[in-house]
Amino acid sequence: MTFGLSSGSDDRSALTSNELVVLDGANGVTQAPRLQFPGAAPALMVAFVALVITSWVIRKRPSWVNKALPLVLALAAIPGMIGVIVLRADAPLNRPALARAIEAAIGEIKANAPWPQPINVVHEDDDVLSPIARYAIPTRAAQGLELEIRGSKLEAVCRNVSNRVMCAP
Amino acid sequence: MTGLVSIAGAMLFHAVGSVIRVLVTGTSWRAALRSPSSAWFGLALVYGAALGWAGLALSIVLVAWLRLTRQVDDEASPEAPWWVFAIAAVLILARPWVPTMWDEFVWLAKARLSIDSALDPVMKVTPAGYPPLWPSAVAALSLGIDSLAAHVTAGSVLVLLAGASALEAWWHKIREAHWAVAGATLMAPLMWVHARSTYVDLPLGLLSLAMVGFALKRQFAVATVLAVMAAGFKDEGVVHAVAASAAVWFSLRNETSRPPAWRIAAPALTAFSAFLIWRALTDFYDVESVDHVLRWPSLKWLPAFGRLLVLHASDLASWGVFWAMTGAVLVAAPSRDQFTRSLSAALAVNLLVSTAAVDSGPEQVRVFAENGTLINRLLMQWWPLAAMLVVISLTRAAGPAKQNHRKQHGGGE
Repeated sequence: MTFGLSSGSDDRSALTSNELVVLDGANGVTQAPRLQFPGAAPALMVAFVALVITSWVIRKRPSWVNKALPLVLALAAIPGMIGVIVLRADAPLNRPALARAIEAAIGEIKANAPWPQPINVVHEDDDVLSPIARYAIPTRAAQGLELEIRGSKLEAVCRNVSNRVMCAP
Repeated sequence: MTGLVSIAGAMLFHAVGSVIRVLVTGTSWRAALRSPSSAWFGLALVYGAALGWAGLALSIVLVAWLRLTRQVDDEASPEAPWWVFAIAAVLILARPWVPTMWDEFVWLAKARLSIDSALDPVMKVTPAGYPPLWPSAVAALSLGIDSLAAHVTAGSVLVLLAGASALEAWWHKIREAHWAVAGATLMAPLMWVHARSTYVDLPLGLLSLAMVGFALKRQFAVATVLAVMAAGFKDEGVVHAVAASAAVWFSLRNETSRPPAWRIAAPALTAFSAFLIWRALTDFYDVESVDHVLRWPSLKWLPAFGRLLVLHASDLASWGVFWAMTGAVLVAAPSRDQFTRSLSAALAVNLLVSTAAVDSGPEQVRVFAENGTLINRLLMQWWPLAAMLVVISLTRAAGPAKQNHRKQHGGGE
Protein backbone atom coordinates (compact mmCIF):
# COMPACT_ATOMS: atom_id res chain seq x y z
CA MET A 1 0.00 0.00 0.00
CA THR A 2 1.56 3.28 -1.05
CA PHE A 3 -1.29 5.81 -0.66
CA GLY A 4 -0.80 7.07 -4.18
CA LEU A 5 2.89 7.59 -3.59
CA SER A 6 3.94 5.24 -6.32
CA SER A 7 4.71 6.97 -9.58
CA GLY A 8 4.00 3.79 -11.43
CA SER A 9 2.88 0.37 -10.40
CA ASP A 10 6.27 -0.43 -8.91
CA ASP A 11 5.95 -0.71 -5.12
CA ARG A 12 9.70 -0.06 -4.72
CA SER A 13 9.11 3.62 -5.42
CA ALA A 14 7.93 4.14 -1.82
CA LEU A 15 11.47 3.44 -0.50
CA THR A 16 10.25 0.81 1.92
CA SER A 17 13.51 -1.15 2.07
CA ASN A 18 16.64 -0.24 4.00
CA GLU A 19 18.78 -0.47 0.90
CA LEU A 20 16.60 1.91 -1.12
CA VAL A 21 16.77 4.51 1.65
CA VAL A 22 20.56 4.36 1.69
CA LEU A 23 20.73 4.64 -2.09
CA ASP A 24 17.95 7.10 -2.87
CA GLY A 25 16.52 8.36 0.39
CA ALA A 26 17.74 11.93 -0.06
CA ASN A 27 16.81 12.25 -3.73
CA GLY A 28 13.07 12.21 -3.19
CA VAL A 29 10.42 10.95 -0.83
CA THR A 30 9.86 8.15 -3.34
CA GLN A 31 12.13 6.72 -6.00
CA ALA A 32 10.37 8.76 -8.67
CA PRO A 33 13.41 10.95 -9.55
CA ARG A 34 15.58 7.84 -10.02
CA LEU A 35 12.85 6.18 -12.10
CA GLN A 36 12.59 9.28 -14.35
CA PHE A 37 9.11 10.18 -13.07
CA PRO A 38 7.16 7.41 -14.86
CA GLY A 39 3.80 8.74 -13.66
CA ALA A 40 4.47 12.45 -13.98
CA ALA A 41 1.31 13.51 -15.84
CA PRO A 42 -1.09 13.57 -12.83
CA ALA A 43 1.48 15.39 -10.68
CA LEU A 44 2.03 18.01 -13.40
CA MET A 45 -1.74 18.45 -13.67
CA VAL A 46 -2.06 19.00 -9.90
CA ALA A 47 0.83 21.46 -9.93
CA PHE A 48 -0.71 23.39 -12.81
CA VAL A 49 -4.10 23.60 -11.06
CA ALA A 50 -2.40 24.76 -7.85
CA LEU A 51 -0.47 27.41 -9.76
CA VAL A 52 -3.65 28.74 -11.42
CA ILE A 53 -5.66 28.73 -8.17
CA THR A 54 -2.89 30.44 -6.23
CA SER A 55 -2.40 33.11 -8.91
CA TRP A 56 -6.15 33.78 -8.98
CA VAL A 57 -6.45 33.93 -5.21
CA ILE A 58 -3.47 36.27 -4.85
CA ARG A 59 -4.86 38.65 -7.47
CA LYS A 60 -8.52 38.61 -6.35
CA ARG A 61 -7.88 38.24 -2.60
CA PRO A 62 -11.24 36.68 -1.68
CA SER A 63 -12.07 36.73 2.05
CA TRP A 64 -11.53 33.00 2.48
CA VAL A 65 -7.98 33.18 1.15
CA ASN A 66 -6.33 32.71 4.54
CA LYS A 67 -7.94 29.28 4.80
CA ALA A 68 -7.93 28.15 1.17
CA LEU A 69 -4.29 28.30 0.18
CA PRO A 70 -2.81 26.77 3.35
CA LEU A 71 -5.43 24.03 3.04
CA VAL A 72 -4.43 23.31 -0.56
CA LEU A 73 -0.76 23.31 0.44
CA ALA A 74 -1.37 20.98 3.39
CA LEU A 75 -3.67 18.58 1.53
CA ALA A 76 -1.21 18.20 -1.35
CA ALA A 77 1.56 17.36 1.10
CA ILE A 78 -0.35 14.55 2.82
CA PRO A 79 0.74 11.69 0.49
CA GLY A 80 4.39 12.66 0.91
CA MET A 81 4.08 13.17 4.64
CA ILE A 82 2.56 9.68 4.96
CA GLY A 83 5.58 8.39 3.11
CA VAL A 84 7.95 10.21 5.46
CA ILE A 85 6.14 9.44 8.70
CA VAL A 86 4.86 5.92 8.02
CA LEU A 87 5.98 4.15 4.86
CA ARG A 88 9.66 4.73 4.29
CA ALA A 89 12.23 2.49 5.90
CA ASP A 90 13.55 5.58 7.72
CA ALA A 91 10.12 6.59 9.09
CA PRO A 92 10.25 7.11 12.85
CA LEU A 93 8.98 3.65 13.77
CA ASN A 94 11.11 1.89 11.15
CA ARG A 95 14.27 3.84 11.79
CA PRO A 96 15.66 1.87 14.74
CA ALA A 97 15.74 -1.29 12.58
CA LEU A 98 17.42 0.60 9.75
CA ALA A 99 19.97 2.07 12.17
CA ARG A 100 20.74 -1.39 13.60
CA ALA A 101 21.32 -2.81 10.12
CA ILE A 102 23.66 0.05 9.20
CA GLU A 103 25.58 -0.11 12.48
CA ALA A 104 26.01 -3.85 11.99
CA ALA A 105 27.36 -3.35 8.46
CA ILE A 106 29.79 -0.64 9.59
CA GLY A 107 30.87 -2.79 12.54
CA GLU A 108 31.47 -5.82 10.31
CA ILE A 109 33.70 -3.87 7.91
CA LYS A 110 35.55 -2.08 10.72
CA ALA A 111 36.21 -5.35 12.52
CA ASN A 112 37.66 -7.05 9.45
CA ALA A 113 39.43 -4.10 7.83
CA PRO A 114 40.42 -1.86 10.73
CA TRP A 115 41.28 1.66 9.54
CA PRO A 116 43.70 3.57 9.83
CA GLN A 117 45.67 0.43 9.02
CA PRO A 118 46.36 0.70 5.24
CA ILE A 119 43.46 -0.84 3.34
CA ASN A 120 43.67 -1.50 -0.38
CA VAL A 121 40.11 -1.69 -1.69
CA VAL A 122 40.63 -3.79 -4.79
CA HIS A 123 36.96 -3.98 -5.74
CA GLU A 124 33.90 -2.05 -4.60
CA ASP A 125 30.45 -2.43 -6.17
CA ASP A 126 28.74 0.92 -6.72
CA ASP A 127 25.92 -0.17 -4.44
CA VAL A 128 24.56 0.05 -0.93
CA LEU A 129 27.73 -1.06 0.87
CA SER A 130 29.92 1.48 -0.91
CA PRO A 131 29.01 4.56 1.22
CA ILE A 132 29.10 2.47 4.39
CA ALA A 133 32.58 1.24 3.53
CA ARG A 134 33.56 4.82 2.79
CA TYR A 135 32.68 5.82 6.37
CA ALA A 136 34.43 2.77 7.81
CA ILE A 137 37.51 3.32 5.64
CA PRO A 138 37.74 7.02 4.68
CA THR A 139 41.14 6.77 2.99
CA ARG A 140 42.41 4.11 0.64
CA ALA A 141 45.93 2.80 0.21
CA ALA A 142 47.70 1.33 -2.80
CA GLN A 143 49.32 -1.31 -0.56
CA GLY A 144 47.96 -3.03 2.51
CA LEU A 145 45.15 -5.34 3.49
CA GLU A 146 43.17 -6.19 0.36
CA LEU A 147 39.42 -5.73 0.59
CA GLU A 148 36.54 -6.54 -1.76
CA ILE A 149 33.06 -5.14 -1.22
CA ARG A 150 30.28 -6.73 -3.21
CA GLY A 151 26.53 -7.07 -3.25
CA SER A 152 23.40 -5.04 -2.89
CA LYS A 153 22.27 -5.97 0.63
CA LEU A 154 23.11 -4.31 3.92
CA GLU A 155 23.47 -7.63 5.72
CA ALA A 156 27.10 -8.14 4.79
CA VAL A 157 29.47 -10.70 6.23
CA CYS A 158 33.23 -10.33 5.80
CA ARG A 159 35.35 -13.44 5.22
CA ASN A 160 39.05 -13.88 4.79
CA VAL A 161 39.61 -15.62 1.46
CA SER A 162 43.24 -16.28 0.52
CA ASN A 163 44.68 -13.18 2.24
CA ARG A 164 41.90 -10.96 0.99
CA VAL A 165 38.90 -9.80 3.01
CA MET A 166 35.67 -10.13 1.07
CA CYS A 167 32.55 -8.43 2.41
CA ALA A 168 29.31 -9.49 0.79
CA PRO A 169 25.78 -10.58 1.77
CA MET B 1 25.87 8.68 24.81
CA THR B 2 28.94 10.06 23.01
CA GLY B 3 26.51 11.89 20.76
CA LEU B 4 25.86 14.38 23.53
CA VAL B 5 29.47 15.54 23.26
CA SER B 6 28.49 17.52 20.15
CA ILE B 7 25.95 19.52 22.11
CA ALA B 8 28.72 20.46 24.54
CA GLY B 9 30.86 21.27 21.49
CA ALA B 10 28.18 23.58 20.13
CA MET B 11 28.02 25.41 23.47
CA LEU B 12 31.79 25.76 23.50
CA PHE B 13 31.87 27.18 19.97
CA HIS B 14 29.01 29.50 20.79
CA ALA B 15 31.06 30.89 23.68
CA VAL B 16 34.24 31.16 21.58
CA GLY B 17 32.28 32.71 18.72
CA SER B 18 30.70 35.25 21.06
CA VAL B 19 34.14 36.34 22.26
CA ILE B 20 35.37 36.74 18.67
CA ARG B 21 32.21 38.62 17.71
CA VAL B 22 32.56 41.03 20.61
CA LEU B 23 36.25 41.63 19.95
CA VAL B 24 36.04 42.00 16.18
CA THR B 25 32.68 43.63 15.58
CA GLY B 26 32.13 45.47 18.85
CA THR B 27 28.81 43.76 19.46
CA SER B 28 27.77 43.88 23.12
CA TRP B 29 28.39 40.77 25.24
CA ARG B 30 24.71 40.36 25.95
CA ALA B 31 23.72 40.57 22.28
CA ALA B 32 26.51 38.18 21.21
CA LEU B 33 25.69 35.57 23.84
CA ARG B 34 21.96 35.70 23.04
CA SER B 35 22.50 35.34 19.30
CA PRO B 36 22.74 31.74 18.04
CA SER B 37 24.63 33.05 15.00
CA SER B 38 27.63 33.80 17.21
CA ALA B 39 28.57 30.11 17.00
CA TRP B 40 29.47 30.61 13.32
CA PHE B 41 32.18 33.10 14.34
CA GLY B 42 33.74 30.26 16.35
CA LEU B 43 33.46 27.84 13.44
CA ALA B 44 35.08 30.45 11.17
CA LEU B 45 38.08 30.23 13.48
CA VAL B 46 38.08 26.44 13.02
CA TYR B 47 38.07 26.87 9.26
CA GLY B 48 40.90 29.38 9.33
CA ALA B 49 43.00 27.18 11.59
CA ALA B 50 42.33 24.02 9.55
CA LEU B 51 43.44 25.56 6.25
CA GLY B 52 46.91 26.50 7.51
CA TRP B 53 48.62 29.35 5.60
CA ALA B 54 45.60 29.63 3.32
CA GLY B 55 43.42 29.86 6.39
CA LEU B 56 45.52 32.75 7.63
CA ALA B 57 44.84 34.58 4.37
CA LEU B 58 41.13 33.80 4.68
CA SER B 59 41.07 34.98 8.29
CA ILE B 60 42.73 38.28 7.34
CA VAL B 61 40.18 38.85 4.58
CA LEU B 62 37.30 37.98 6.91
CA VAL B 63 38.48 40.08 9.84
CA ALA B 64 39.07 43.04 7.51
CA TRP B 65 35.51 42.84 6.20
CA LEU B 66 34.10 42.34 9.70
CA ARG B 67 35.92 45.44 10.93
CA LEU B 68 34.71 47.45 7.92
CA THR B 69 31.10 46.42 8.39
CA ARG B 70 31.04 46.37 12.17
CA GLN B 71 29.66 49.79 13.07
CA VAL B 72 26.09 48.95 12.14
CA ASP B 73 26.24 45.47 13.59
CA ASP B 74 25.47 46.02 17.24
CA GLU B 75 22.05 44.44 17.22
CA ALA B 76 21.14 40.84 17.86
CA SER B 77 17.57 39.56 17.69
CA PRO B 78 15.66 41.11 20.56
CA GLU B 79 13.53 38.04 21.10
CA ALA B 80 15.21 34.76 20.30
CA PRO B 81 12.34 32.29 19.80
CA TRP B 82 13.77 29.58 22.00
CA TRP B 83 10.53 27.58 22.14
CA VAL B 84 10.57 27.22 18.33
CA PHE B 85 14.20 26.16 18.51
CA ALA B 86 13.42 23.62 21.23
CA ILE B 87 10.62 22.02 19.19
CA ALA B 88 12.87 21.87 16.12
CA ALA B 89 15.66 20.33 18.21
CA VAL B 90 13.38 17.55 19.43
CA LEU B 91 12.02 16.83 15.94
CA ILE B 92 15.51 16.71 14.43
CA LEU B 93 17.51 14.97 17.16
CA ALA B 94 14.95 12.41 18.31
CA ARG B 95 16.19 9.59 16.13
CA PRO B 96 18.92 6.96 16.28
CA TRP B 97 22.22 8.77 15.78
CA VAL B 98 23.22 6.74 12.76
CA PRO B 99 23.54 8.05 9.18
CA THR B 100 21.06 6.47 6.79
CA MET B 101 21.61 7.97 3.35
CA TRP B 102 24.46 7.87 0.85
CA ASP B 103 26.07 11.30 1.12
CA GLU B 104 25.83 11.30 4.90
CA PHE B 105 28.37 8.50 5.08
CA VAL B 106 30.64 10.17 2.55
CA TRP B 107 30.61 13.59 4.24
CA LEU B 108 30.89 12.20 7.76
CA ALA B 109 33.79 9.99 6.66
CA LYS B 110 35.76 13.18 5.99
CA ALA B 111 35.13 14.24 9.59
CA ARG B 112 37.37 11.33 10.56
CA LEU B 113 40.27 12.92 8.63
CA SER B 114 42.33 16.07 8.76
CA ILE B 115 42.20 18.49 5.85
CA ASP B 116 45.75 17.34 5.00
CA SER B 117 44.32 13.94 4.05
CA ALA B 118 41.63 15.57 1.91
CA LEU B 119 44.40 17.45 0.07
CA ASP B 120 46.47 14.32 -0.56
CA PRO B 121 45.40 12.70 -3.86
CA VAL B 122 47.08 9.44 -2.80
CA MET B 123 44.50 9.03 -0.01
CA LYS B 124 41.67 8.81 -2.58
CA VAL B 125 39.23 10.75 -0.43
CA THR B 126 35.88 11.26 -2.15
CA PRO B 127 34.37 13.46 -3.31
CA ALA B 128 37.72 15.02 -4.17
CA GLY B 129 38.23 18.75 -3.96
CA TYR B 130 34.91 19.64 -2.32
CA PRO B 131 35.09 22.46 0.25
CA PRO B 132 36.00 20.90 3.60
CA LEU B 133 34.19 22.98 6.19
CA TRP B 134 31.14 20.74 6.78
CA PRO B 135 33.21 17.73 7.86
CA SER B 136 35.67 20.01 9.69
CA ALA B 137 32.82 21.61 11.61
CA VAL B 138 31.41 18.14 12.41
CA ALA B 139 34.81 17.09 13.76
CA ALA B 140 35.13 20.32 15.73
CA LEU B 141 31.71 20.04 17.35
CA SER B 142 32.48 16.38 18.14
CA LEU B 143 35.51 17.71 20.03
CA GLY B 144 37.69 15.35 18.05
CA ILE B 145 35.94 12.19 19.26
CA ASP B 146 35.87 9.61 16.45
CA SER B 147 32.38 8.27 17.06
CA LEU B 148 29.49 7.69 14.68
CA ALA B 149 26.95 9.05 17.18
CA ALA B 150 29.05 12.15 17.85
CA HIS B 151 29.43 12.82 14.12
CA VAL B 152 25.71 12.45 13.45
CA THR B 153 24.66 14.68 16.32
CA ALA B 154 27.29 17.24 15.32
CA GLY B 155 25.85 17.30 11.77
CA SER B 156 22.35 17.68 13.18
CA VAL B 157 23.46 20.43 15.54
CA LEU B 158 24.83 22.26 12.48
CA VAL B 159 21.43 21.86 10.78
CA LEU B 160 19.83 23.30 13.92
CA LEU B 161 22.32 26.15 14.10
CA ALA B 162 21.60 27.09 10.50
CA GLY B 163 17.88 27.01 11.27
CA ALA B 164 18.42 29.12 14.38
CA SER B 165 20.30 31.73 12.36
CA ALA B 166 17.50 31.85 9.79
CA LEU B 167 14.96 32.24 12.61
CA GLU B 168 17.06 34.96 14.20
CA ALA B 169 17.27 36.87 10.94
CA TRP B 170 13.58 36.54 10.03
CA TRP B 171 11.74 36.20 13.34
CA HIS B 172 10.29 39.71 13.01
CA LYS B 173 8.46 38.51 9.86
CA ILE B 174 7.75 34.95 10.98
CA ARG B 175 5.95 36.07 14.12
CA GLU B 176 3.63 38.18 11.94
CA ALA B 177 2.80 35.18 9.76
CA HIS B 178 -0.60 33.55 9.74
CA TRP B 179 -0.19 30.33 11.72
CA ALA B 180 -1.98 28.22 9.09
CA VAL B 181 0.22 29.58 6.31
CA ALA B 182 3.40 28.95 8.30
CA GLY B 183 2.27 25.46 9.33
CA ALA B 184 1.25 24.44 5.82
CA THR B 185 4.51 25.75 4.36
CA LEU B 186 6.45 23.55 6.75
CA MET B 187 4.62 20.53 5.33
CA ALA B 188 7.27 19.94 2.69
CA PRO B 189 7.87 16.17 2.94
CA LEU B 190 11.38 16.03 1.50
CA MET B 191 12.45 18.89 3.74
CA TRP B 192 11.74 16.69 6.77
CA VAL B 193 13.82 13.88 5.30
CA HIS B 194 16.77 16.25 4.98
CA ALA B 195 16.15 17.95 8.32
CA ARG B 196 16.49 14.59 10.06
CA SER B 197 19.78 13.85 8.29
CA THR B 198 23.24 15.38 8.08
CA TYR B 199 22.93 16.45 4.42
CA VAL B 200 24.40 19.86 3.68
CA ASP B 201 21.75 21.18 1.30
CA LEU B 202 19.07 22.25 3.79
CA PRO B 203 21.51 24.00 6.16
CA LEU B 204 23.09 25.72 3.16
CA GLY B 205 19.66 27.00 2.15
CA LEU B 206 18.96 28.11 5.71
CA LEU B 207 22.25 30.03 5.78
CA SER B 208 21.25 31.59 2.47
CA LEU B 209 17.96 32.76 3.97
CA ALA B 210 19.77 34.04 7.06
CA MET B 211 22.28 35.96 4.90
CA VAL B 212 19.49 37.81 3.12
CA GLY B 213 17.70 38.51 6.40
CA PHE B 214 20.76 39.82 8.24
CA ALA B 215 21.80 41.95 5.26
CA LEU B 216 18.32 43.49 5.15
CA LYS B 217 18.68 44.26 8.86
CA ARG B 218 22.04 45.92 8.03
CA GLN B 219 23.88 43.28 10.08
CA PHE B 220 26.46 42.79 7.37
CA ALA B 221 29.13 41.35 9.66
CA VAL B 222 26.93 38.37 10.53
CA ALA B 223 25.88 37.98 6.89
CA THR B 224 29.56 37.98 5.91
CA VAL B 225 30.50 35.23 8.37
CA LEU B 226 27.55 33.16 7.17
CA ALA B 227 28.73 33.68 3.59
CA VAL B 228 32.16 32.23 4.42
CA MET B 229 30.46 29.29 6.12
CA ALA B 230 28.27 28.72 3.06
CA ALA B 231 31.28 28.81 0.71
CA GLY B 232 33.12 26.43 3.03
CA PHE B 233 30.24 23.96 3.09
CA LYS B 234 29.71 23.66 -0.66
CA ASP B 235 30.77 25.43 -3.85
CA GLU B 236 27.10 26.39 -4.30
CA GLY B 237 27.54 28.49 -1.17
CA VAL B 238 29.28 31.13 -3.26
CA VAL B 239 26.24 31.29 -5.51
CA HIS B 240 24.02 31.78 -2.45
CA ALA B 241 26.25 34.56 -1.13
CA VAL B 242 26.34 36.33 -4.50
CA ALA B 243 22.57 35.91 -4.76
CA ALA B 244 22.07 37.36 -1.26
CA SER B 245 24.21 40.43 -1.95
CA ALA B 246 22.66 40.99 -5.38
CA ALA B 247 19.15 40.52 -4.04
CA VAL B 248 19.60 42.94 -1.17
CA TRP B 249 21.19 45.54 -3.45
CA PHE B 250 18.29 45.12 -5.90
CA SER B 251 15.59 45.34 -3.25
CA LEU B 252 17.07 48.46 -1.63
CA ARG B 253 18.12 50.22 -4.83
CA ASN B 254 15.49 52.96 -4.61
CA GLU B 255 15.77 53.57 -0.89
CA THR B 256 17.45 56.77 0.23
CA SER B 257 18.87 55.09 3.34
CA ARG B 258 20.48 52.32 1.31
CA PRO B 259 23.87 51.22 2.65
CA PRO B 260 26.84 51.72 0.32
CA ALA B 261 27.26 49.06 -2.34
CA TRP B 262 30.58 47.80 -0.95
CA ARG B 263 28.89 46.99 2.36
CA ILE B 264 26.10 45.08 0.63
CA ALA B 265 28.70 43.26 -1.46
CA ALA B 266 30.67 42.10 1.59
CA PRO B 267 29.04 38.63 1.84
CA ALA B 268 29.55 37.94 -1.87
CA LEU B 269 33.16 39.17 -1.96
CA THR B 270 34.17 37.30 1.19
CA ALA B 271 32.52 34.07 0.05
CA PHE B 272 34.27 34.42 -3.29
CA SER B 273 37.58 34.92 -1.48
CA ALA B 274 36.96 31.74 0.53
CA PHE B 275 36.15 29.88 -2.68
CA LEU B 276 39.30 31.11 -4.43
CA ILE B 277 41.52 30.35 -1.44
CA TRP B 278 40.23 26.76 -1.27
CA ARG B 279 40.63 26.36 -5.04
CA ALA B 280 44.20 27.70 -4.79
CA LEU B 281 44.92 25.05 -2.16
CA THR B 282 43.43 22.21 -4.22
CA ASP B 283 45.34 23.39 -7.28
CA PHE B 284 48.55 23.59 -5.25
CA TYR B 285 48.11 19.98 -4.10
CA ASP B 286 46.87 18.72 -7.51
CA VAL B 287 43.45 17.75 -6.19
CA GLU B 288 40.85 18.22 -8.89
CA SER B 289 37.18 18.73 -8.08
CA VAL B 290 36.03 16.91 -11.19
CA ASP B 291 32.34 17.61 -10.51
CA HIS B 292 32.79 21.37 -10.38
CA VAL B 293 35.11 22.17 -13.27
CA LEU B 294 33.45 24.76 -15.50
CA ARG B 295 33.71 24.37 -19.25
CA TRP B 296 32.15 25.98 -22.29
CA PRO B 297 28.34 26.01 -21.85
CA SER B 298 26.31 23.40 -23.66
CA LEU B 299 23.20 25.46 -24.36
CA LYS B 300 21.45 22.58 -26.09
CA TRP B 301 20.98 20.99 -22.67
CA LEU B 302 18.94 23.91 -21.32
CA PRO B 303 15.52 22.54 -22.40
CA ALA B 304 16.34 19.21 -20.73
CA PHE B 305 17.33 21.01 -17.53
CA GLY B 306 14.08 23.00 -17.61
CA ARG B 307 12.06 19.81 -18.13
CA LEU B 308 13.82 18.07 -15.24
CA LEU B 309 13.38 21.08 -12.99
CA VAL B 310 9.62 21.13 -13.65
CA LEU B 311 9.35 17.37 -13.09
CA HIS B 312 11.23 17.51 -9.78
CA ALA B 313 9.38 20.60 -8.54
CA SER B 314 6.01 19.05 -9.29
CA ASP B 315 6.83 15.70 -7.65
CA LEU B 316 3.80 15.51 -5.37
CA ALA B 317 5.33 13.08 -2.89
CA SER B 318 8.44 15.19 -2.32
CA TRP B 319 7.05 18.71 -2.41
CA GLY B 320 3.27 18.63 -2.57
CA VAL B 321 2.32 21.77 -4.53
CA PHE B 322 4.84 23.97 -2.75
CA TRP B 323 6.83 24.91 -5.84
CA ALA B 324 3.68 25.51 -7.91
CA MET B 325 2.57 27.99 -5.24
CA THR B 326 6.01 29.56 -5.19
CA GLY B 327 5.78 30.02 -8.95
CA ALA B 328 2.38 31.66 -8.57
CA VAL B 329 3.66 33.97 -5.84
CA LEU B 330 6.64 34.98 -7.96
CA VAL B 331 4.42 35.78 -10.92
CA ALA B 332 1.28 37.15 -9.30
CA ALA B 333 2.15 38.63 -5.90
CA PRO B 334 1.54 42.38 -6.00
CA SER B 335 3.14 45.33 -4.11
CA ARG B 336 6.51 43.90 -3.33
CA ASP B 337 8.29 45.23 -0.26
CA GLN B 338 12.02 44.92 0.38
CA PHE B 339 11.54 41.49 1.95
CA THR B 340 9.62 39.78 -0.84
CA ARG B 341 11.66 41.63 -3.46
CA SER B 342 14.93 40.42 -2.02
CA LEU B 343 13.70 36.83 -1.56
CA SER B 344 12.40 36.72 -5.14
CA ALA B 345 15.61 38.21 -6.46
CA ALA B 346 17.74 35.76 -4.46
CA LEU B 347 15.75 32.85 -5.86
CA ALA B 348 16.07 34.22 -9.40
CA VAL B 349 19.84 34.69 -9.13
CA ASN B 350 20.26 31.21 -7.65
CA LEU B 351 18.21 29.71 -10.46
CA LEU B 352 20.09 31.56 -13.19
CA VAL B 353 23.59 30.94 -11.85
CA SER B 354 22.91 27.30 -10.96
CA THR B 355 21.46 26.67 -14.42
CA ALA B 356 24.53 28.22 -16.00
CA ALA B 357 26.84 26.22 -13.71
CA VAL B 358 25.12 22.91 -14.45
CA ASP B 359 25.05 23.74 -18.14
CA SER B 360 28.74 24.57 -18.28
CA GLY B 361 29.81 21.88 -15.82
CA PRO B 362 31.21 18.47 -16.73
CA GLU B 363 29.05 15.83 -18.36
CA GLN B 364 28.68 13.77 -15.18
CA VAL B 365 26.80 16.62 -13.46
CA ARG B 366 24.17 16.46 -16.19
CA VAL B 367 24.11 12.68 -15.76
CA PHE B 368 23.46 13.23 -12.03
CA ALA B 369 20.56 15.51 -12.98
CA GLU B 370 19.12 12.93 -15.40
CA ASN B 371 19.49 10.19 -12.78
CA GLY B 372 17.55 12.17 -10.20
CA THR B 373 20.40 12.79 -7.77
CA LEU B 374 20.96 16.52 -8.33
CA ILE B 375 17.93 18.73 -8.86
CA ASN B 376 16.07 17.99 -5.63
CA ARG B 377 19.28 18.96 -3.82
CA LEU B 378 19.17 22.35 -5.53
CA LEU B 379 15.47 22.69 -4.72
CA MET B 380 16.30 21.82 -1.10
CA GLN B 381 18.88 24.63 -1.06
CA TRP B 382 16.29 27.06 -2.42
CA TRP B 383 13.42 25.88 -0.22
CA PRO B 384 14.12 28.18 2.77
CA LEU B 385 14.14 31.31 0.57
CA ALA B 386 11.00 30.17 -1.21
CA ALA B 387 9.26 29.15 2.01
CA MET B 388 9.84 32.57 3.55
CA LEU B 389 8.56 34.21 0.36
CA VAL B 390 5.41 32.05 0.40
CA VAL B 391 4.79 32.70 4.09
CA ILE B 392 5.08 36.48 3.72
CA SER B 393 3.10 36.63 0.49
CA LEU B 394 0.22 34.39 1.57
CA THR B 395 0.02 36.10 4.95
CA ARG B 396 -0.19 39.42 3.16
CA ALA B 397 -2.83 38.04 0.80
CA ALA B 398 -4.87 37.30 3.92
CA GLY B 399 -3.95 40.77 5.18
CA PRO B 400 -7.12 42.39 6.52
CA ALA B 401 -8.24 39.33 8.46
CA LYS B 402 -4.78 38.93 9.98
CA GLN B 403 -4.45 42.58 10.93
CA ASN B 404 -7.93 42.62 12.49
CA HIS B 405 -7.09 39.50 14.44
CA ARG B 406 -3.89 41.13 15.75
CA LYS B 407 -5.71 44.31 16.71
CA GLN B 408 -8.41 42.37 18.56
CA HIS B 409 -5.79 40.50 20.52
CA GLY B 410 -3.56 43.44 21.21
CA GLY B 411 -0.87 42.31 18.76
CA GLY B 412 1.47 44.53 16.85
CA GLU B 413 5.03 45.76 16.88
